Amino acid sequence: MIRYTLKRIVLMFVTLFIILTLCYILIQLTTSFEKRVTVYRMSDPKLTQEDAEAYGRAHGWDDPIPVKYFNWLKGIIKGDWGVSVVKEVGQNPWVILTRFIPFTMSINIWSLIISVPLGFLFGIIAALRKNKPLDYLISFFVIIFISVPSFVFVTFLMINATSMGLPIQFRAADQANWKDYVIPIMALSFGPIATLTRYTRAELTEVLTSEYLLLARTKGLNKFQATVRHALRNSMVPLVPLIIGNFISIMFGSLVIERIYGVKGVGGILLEAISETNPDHDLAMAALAFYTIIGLATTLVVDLSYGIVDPRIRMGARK
Amino acid sequence: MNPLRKLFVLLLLFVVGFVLVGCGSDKELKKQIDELKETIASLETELNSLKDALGTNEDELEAANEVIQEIEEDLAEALSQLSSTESDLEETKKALEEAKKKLDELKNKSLEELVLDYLYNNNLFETVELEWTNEEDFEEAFEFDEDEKVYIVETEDTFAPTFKVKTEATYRTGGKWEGEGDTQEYVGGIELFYEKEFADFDYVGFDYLWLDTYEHNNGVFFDAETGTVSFVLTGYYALVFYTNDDAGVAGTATPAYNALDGEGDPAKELIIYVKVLPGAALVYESGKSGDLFVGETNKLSINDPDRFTVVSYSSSDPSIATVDENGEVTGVAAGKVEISAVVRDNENNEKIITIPFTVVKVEGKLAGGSEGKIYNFKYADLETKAKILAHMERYLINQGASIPVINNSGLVIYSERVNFIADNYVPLMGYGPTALPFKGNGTAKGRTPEDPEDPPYRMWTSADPSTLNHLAYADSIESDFLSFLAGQLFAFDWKLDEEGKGVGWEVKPEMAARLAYPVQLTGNQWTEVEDWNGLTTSKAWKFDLRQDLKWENGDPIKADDFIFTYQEALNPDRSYRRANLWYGSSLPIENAKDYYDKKEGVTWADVGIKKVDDYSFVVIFKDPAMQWDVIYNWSGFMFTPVHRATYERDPAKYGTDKDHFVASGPYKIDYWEKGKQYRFTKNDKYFLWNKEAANVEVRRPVLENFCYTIVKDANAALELFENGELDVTSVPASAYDKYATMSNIQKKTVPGATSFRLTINKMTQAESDAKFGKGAWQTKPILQEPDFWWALYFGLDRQGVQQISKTSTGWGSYFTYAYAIVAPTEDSIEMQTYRETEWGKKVYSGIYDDDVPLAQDPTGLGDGDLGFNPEQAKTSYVKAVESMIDKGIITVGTEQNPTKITIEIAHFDGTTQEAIYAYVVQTYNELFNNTKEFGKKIVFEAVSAPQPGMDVYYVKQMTGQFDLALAGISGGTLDPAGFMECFCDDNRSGLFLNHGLDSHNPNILIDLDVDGDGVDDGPMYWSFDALYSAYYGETFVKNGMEATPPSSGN
Repeated sequence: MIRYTLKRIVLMFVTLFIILTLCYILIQLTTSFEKRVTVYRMSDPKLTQEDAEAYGRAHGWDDPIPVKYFNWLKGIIKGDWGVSVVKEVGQNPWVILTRFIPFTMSINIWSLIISVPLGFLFGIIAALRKNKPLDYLISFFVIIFISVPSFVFVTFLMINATSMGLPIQFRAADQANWKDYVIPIMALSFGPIATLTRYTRAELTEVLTSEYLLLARTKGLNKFQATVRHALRNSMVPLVPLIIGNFISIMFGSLVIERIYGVKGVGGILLEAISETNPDHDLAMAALAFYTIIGLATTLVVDLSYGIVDPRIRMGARK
Repeated sequence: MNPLRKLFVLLLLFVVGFVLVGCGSDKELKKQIDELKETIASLETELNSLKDALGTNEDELEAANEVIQEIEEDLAEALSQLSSTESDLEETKKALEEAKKKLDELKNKSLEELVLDYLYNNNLFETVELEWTNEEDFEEAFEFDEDEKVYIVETEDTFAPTFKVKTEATYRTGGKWEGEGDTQEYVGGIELFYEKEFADFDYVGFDYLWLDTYEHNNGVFFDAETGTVSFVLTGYYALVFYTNDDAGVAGTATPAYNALDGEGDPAKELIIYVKVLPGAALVYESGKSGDLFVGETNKLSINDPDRFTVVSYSSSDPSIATVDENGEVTGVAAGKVEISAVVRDNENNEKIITIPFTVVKVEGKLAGGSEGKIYNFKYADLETKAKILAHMERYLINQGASIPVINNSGLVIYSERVNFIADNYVPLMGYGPTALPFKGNGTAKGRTPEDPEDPPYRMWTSADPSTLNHLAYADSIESDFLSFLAGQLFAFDWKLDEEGKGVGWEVKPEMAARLAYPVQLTGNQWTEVEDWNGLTTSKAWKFDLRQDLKWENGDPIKADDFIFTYQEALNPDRSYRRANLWYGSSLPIENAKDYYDKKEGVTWADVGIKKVDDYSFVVIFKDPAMQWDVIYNWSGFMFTPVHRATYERDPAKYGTDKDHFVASGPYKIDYWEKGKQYRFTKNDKYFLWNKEAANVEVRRPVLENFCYTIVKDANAALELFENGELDVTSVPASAYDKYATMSNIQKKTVPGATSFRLTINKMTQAESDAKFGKGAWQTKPILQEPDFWWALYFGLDRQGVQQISKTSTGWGSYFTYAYAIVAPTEDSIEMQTYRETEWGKKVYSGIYDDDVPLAQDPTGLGDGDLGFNPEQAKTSYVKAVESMIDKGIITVGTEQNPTKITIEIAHFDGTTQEAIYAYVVQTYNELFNNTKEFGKKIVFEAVSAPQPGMDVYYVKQMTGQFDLALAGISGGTLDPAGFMECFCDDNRSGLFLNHGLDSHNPNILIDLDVDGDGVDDGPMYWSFDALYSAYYGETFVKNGMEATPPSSGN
């Protein structure tokens, strides 16, 4: 198990490196020296072409991409992630991010925490009341919440926010309270609740009709005990990766939600930093690294969780 | 009989039978039909027996069977149809006779001939050799360069190579293939081998490639009928002759190797490399054209002195223009003349070439005359400046520089409590929503009067400021913040009328104790210049500061802070974004650029910034300036100081958060939450909050609290506004209709300073090739027709465009109400909105003789139809096309084969933009097609071409690869002439917006007071460049054009 874990961690770093390299090159390709100089010139018509180019050269806009990449790589190895030039001039990008990460993470984690029990609950109800009106009602909502993207929910909720007594936008820190979190968390959790419901219902119905459950009932366990102790445990195995997968989709869904609802999150940072005309490359790389690390870490947890939840896998690694 | 022959016969008979049977009931014919049927039947039996005899070649058998079956079916079908009209009978008779003739011919042909015909018709001949038969003639006529391995030809040369194509084919029948791969053999039948030679261009295809890009560039023309190649553009070309069976689709041949290096495969393909040089031609003097003024000279030269020498020059009419032996042409009298030259090339061949001139006698004076004079309208009064600007603006419209479409005005809505100081828009100041205390009891919607605190004036923006270090500010959001947080040396304050309404502005000293004044060095003291006024110019100006200035933390602000900041701004190691405001831009400081460029020997002591005492300093500018120049350029926050102690602690971080910033202005940041909200409160250390003690008469500042919220989504902002949480927001296009018609809400239309126009590429092909490279773009001749520029102008439905875009306003000229002309006088500064001046209005009704009014609206401003006049557009289009027909550029086509005129309109992408230009394109296409004169014989097609990002500038316009392209440009609102520089054809601004506009010839007739006596001195001709330069300062003008003044050593 330990060897497996270590192997997975090493692989994670390799993947991280490859992803970051690709991202770096792609971001550099979105802009060019000429574009940046032209945009710079447009901000002041009296600026001559030579002065604008000299300014660009002084700020490193014209290095060829491989050179920029190696400089960046050298910095990373030393632990220096560069400096933001647009968002907050001269600041370490991770310092900037630490201001914004708490909001993103709190919304995302709360969405996850809410979606899990609610998803299970609805799934269990639907499975137990299979083919009855309640089941149909739940399935109907499941379909809607799976198909409609989260930002549509946010807009819809925003329009009706005042009548629900909720703020239209996330408010300033000294005025904000739990009410500001309601709308984004709700919008983000609809999707995961729906997928979890659907999956739980499917798994549970399958398990409920299986033979070992019949055996459990005949052995004297009542319906509740049988369901919770045996059925649920077995259907949980594939559920853990599903929950973690939901987390990743919540994270990327929050990119848009943050923007629409005005949450100070990492998504907004990323979107601003990769602008074509006013790019903030170091900050963009830090934000991308953040997302990548979280994504890879959750994948790692998924892989490890298989080993915990399912003893067969745990044993098998020892060969 | 040979089975193939039989097939031929059968096919012919089938045709004949078909024709026959479909016709009349003539008895004779019926008899003939019957006869033929018999022949057919007999042939059929023969065929059937032949089928058996054919043996085992299944493919042929099958083919034969198929044909027979087809014929049988068709005959059966034909027999069942009979018609009986006379004309059919006649035709059938004729067809029958012809069929008989062919049958006879066939019978007379030998088997060999039949087979050859068959092979030819089925492209079964394979080329064996492609031979160039008249190569010797070519070698005689053209030089072959051994180093480059190319033939040297000239642009007027043609050559017609002739070829011999040797082909061979094998005809096989009656047997089958045995074996596999290379060892295949045809056994059991007959193999006939034929050879044939062709010598016509039916069998040889032609293609060429321009070796710079391996593509076509319209540089070579090939006349397939005569087989002649002629050359149009210079360059290296590979001429590829290939035989049809190998080339596939004509026009896609590519040499498989790097040209000038390898050898062709002489069997299938012949590649001849040529280098096309320009033929001998005379060239006008650089920067000039074939238009000559009386008395003007133009020195001709030969285009390639290495290959040609001029023997002599002569003029076709010396009474119109004379030419001397060096090729200098002098205009004598009005008229057209041709100057010819005898040229000799390196082989001592002589040729006469000519170049045309049109001598123009201007019925009027040229500015500056033939001696030249210095003019300067920098100190002219308001009316003169408006007059010059109006002449320039109308000239640009008349010359089709670009077609105005829209400007970026916007609708802004305000909450109920906002109190405006101005009813009408004042350039530079706006409507003044924060210049008066809130209305009523100042409460915002949703709050009751009992609420103890008025909420601040709440605004929103979509992005944080990146830094509040004004030396590095980039965006308008930063300048908005800094206008609250930083003081100003001089500030624009409202000027009120008797009722207290804002109608204009005045400049007042703020951090400075008085306005900057000119000084001179007497001894080593700076003393004020005597008797100076608003028009006095000086290089040195003194700034006296107030002595009660304080930072928000109580530290005093002194002259040292200012000078320290200026030195930091020019610090070459910091490379600040705004450094150019000190060393370049409109008012450069002496030696600042050299200091910034780290020129050797230049230190800070050389730069024109000198401290005088703790509260004053002197700035020495590179060029003499008026007081208005100094005040205008040094107003605002740009030249205020940074807090030295905080800055020196960490210069890179100055302005990035509360710890690293100290405010010097009327407000300070009370709450700083990045990404969310910024709250400003009154900085009570700023002297203006205590006006009595400060002894000033300045209105500002009024409101005490402001708040900026960061909102990323414009619709969310609108929602916040509707919920009473914002005091101001602009209306996005999606909500425009709702608010435009709402009556119980405060809304203001803000005229835009950016006007969006479609630049027209009026360059000729030669000009485009010269400027942007050969083949960069194919210019459209119709865009060089002045009538077509009017067709484009009048054919643009600006009202319609406005409906689609909603937030922008359609506009028919280059300047909106946002611009004002400023004219300093001796004791005051006069200002007027340019569009409202007399001359500004005349741009619409017409300035020059023959000017068409831009709009049918009698008020002269054209707000009504905005210049859309479909009838006029159509008339102008027709005139333009007729002019092209007269010049022989196009001909009228036919309805089946109409002449096509296509132009491409490049613009930004995005839903609204694409909708706008789809509409523009549709309007043009509707107007210019199906005209009375041309109907469907000439088809006009405008095409919209959306461009991603900023490509419409730097991929399309900067490289000259466009027909019409959108460009938006704005200048300072108090300096409307500022962006006219981009139209000068010598690209002096670096931002190239002139594509074919003539700005250096004296084409503008204007009556100005040139000697300063207060009386206009009569109309004179000026060039656009000369007028532009004279508007801004001293310019030497000779013969109406800009010129270099003679050196004083004369």
